Amino acid sequence: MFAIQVKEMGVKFLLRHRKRNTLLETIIKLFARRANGRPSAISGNQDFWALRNITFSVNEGESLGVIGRNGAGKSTLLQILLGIYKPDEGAVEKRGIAGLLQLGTGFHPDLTGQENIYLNGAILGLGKREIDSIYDSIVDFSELGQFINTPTKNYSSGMTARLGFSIAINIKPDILMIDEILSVGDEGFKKKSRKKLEEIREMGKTVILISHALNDIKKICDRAICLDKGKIVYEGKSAEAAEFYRESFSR
Amino acid sequence: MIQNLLIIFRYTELIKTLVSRDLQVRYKKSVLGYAWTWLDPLMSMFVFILVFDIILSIKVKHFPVYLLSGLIPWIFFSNSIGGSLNSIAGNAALIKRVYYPREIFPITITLGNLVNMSLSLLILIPIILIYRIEINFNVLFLPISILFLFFISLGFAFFFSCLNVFFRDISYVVPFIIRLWFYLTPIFYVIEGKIPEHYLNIYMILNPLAVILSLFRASLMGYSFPDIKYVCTGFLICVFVLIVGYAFFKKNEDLMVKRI
Repeated sequence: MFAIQVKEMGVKFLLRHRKRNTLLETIIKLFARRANGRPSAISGNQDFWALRNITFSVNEGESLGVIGRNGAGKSTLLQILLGIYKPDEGAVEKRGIAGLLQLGTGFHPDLTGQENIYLNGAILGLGKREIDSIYDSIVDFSELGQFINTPTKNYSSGMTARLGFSIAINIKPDILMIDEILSVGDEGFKKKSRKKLEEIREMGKTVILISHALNDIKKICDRAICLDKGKIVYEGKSAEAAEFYRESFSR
Repeated sequence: MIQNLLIIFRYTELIKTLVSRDLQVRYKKSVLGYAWTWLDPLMSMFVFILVFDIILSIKVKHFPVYLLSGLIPWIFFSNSIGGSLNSIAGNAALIKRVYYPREIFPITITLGNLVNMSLSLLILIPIILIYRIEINFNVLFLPISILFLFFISLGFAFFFSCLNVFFRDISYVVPFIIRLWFYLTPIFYVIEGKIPEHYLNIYMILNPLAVILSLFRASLMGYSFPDIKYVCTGFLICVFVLIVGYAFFKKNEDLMVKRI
């Protein structure tokens, strides 16, 4: 049973070499297009395929690492999997709820940690009662203590990340996606997070981890894919993929 | 479209949380707190009384009530649209990180303003008592006029919040249009009897807000009901704006997310 299946997926963006179109320019272009009888190529803009021909699948309970240089398309892939962008070609299938871990996802700076827990739970589709039942474990795990009643704008970046991590990990989505978050917090918290991640893996949840830390990829993931310029350049066992990445891109 | 609406219903918990978050944030930082909902229409009311009643001596019966029952719905209308304008473009960070239906942003802002309007309407109670205006069954039409005001505001909120992602000019153009529209709507003046019947016909068809305001006044201060044909066209326009606004929003949603 697959948890995620991606087939020949591609997503493109419009690259702008000039400033944003104004309303007036667009109206003029619209009329020019009518007059020509065919769409004119808008000068200065071109399509850019952030990802193309991406095919892979992740089985339930498996964990997949995604590695690649900056701008290779890792985060875009994650956004596709979360349903934020629709692919322009190909198909993406998911089974279950996908949750994301990122620094301070959707925290409102003026609200306290407690209020943000409820807000984030609601964003991920939980009802108030469901959040009530995991509230204590979120606060415990985050080690925020009394700061939970302080507005999050007064948090340090480490505290914000800890709260974000605690929320996502306690909500227990079917598919957990992690974007470069294991590298935040102090050593103690990192250790605890990795342990919790292991537990989640043992519970049979699917994990997708994006990281530059090849050691994390090797330790946590079964398999890994390596992206470069929007294409999969290597797919295989995580240790081998990490080795491939090290040899190809770092010098 | 119906499927989309059902999806929104699954997010009622989130909408509730976001609305109360918006209200909390809005009032947490201000010293006067919820009193602002009353101060805004009251201050405008005093200025209009000063200018029109005292300086220009233009007499309108029960002028304070007349003004407030026009200003409060208008403030809802303009704040809902004005607040929604940047609701997609301004929430880029959130939209790019978590998925939930994007229409929730304009919906949240419009609902938050609806709560505000309901609170502001409460100041009408003592004023109506002071002027000894008799309230009758017409007051039952108030919820209906609020519903249609809500429809047209939300429709514009959908439309312009989406368009603003593509053309930033929108955030300058729309407040400007709303300001002109304010002067063209009978908020601080009475239009009936001032222009020939023929022109009034065209006017009421073109300006659904004028119809909504006269419904407000009919239900709250015993004014006569607007002609049924105005009410029907006004309501049709409100529903039309909502449907077109929402369809436009959904059609451009994917492109919009890529552009913010």
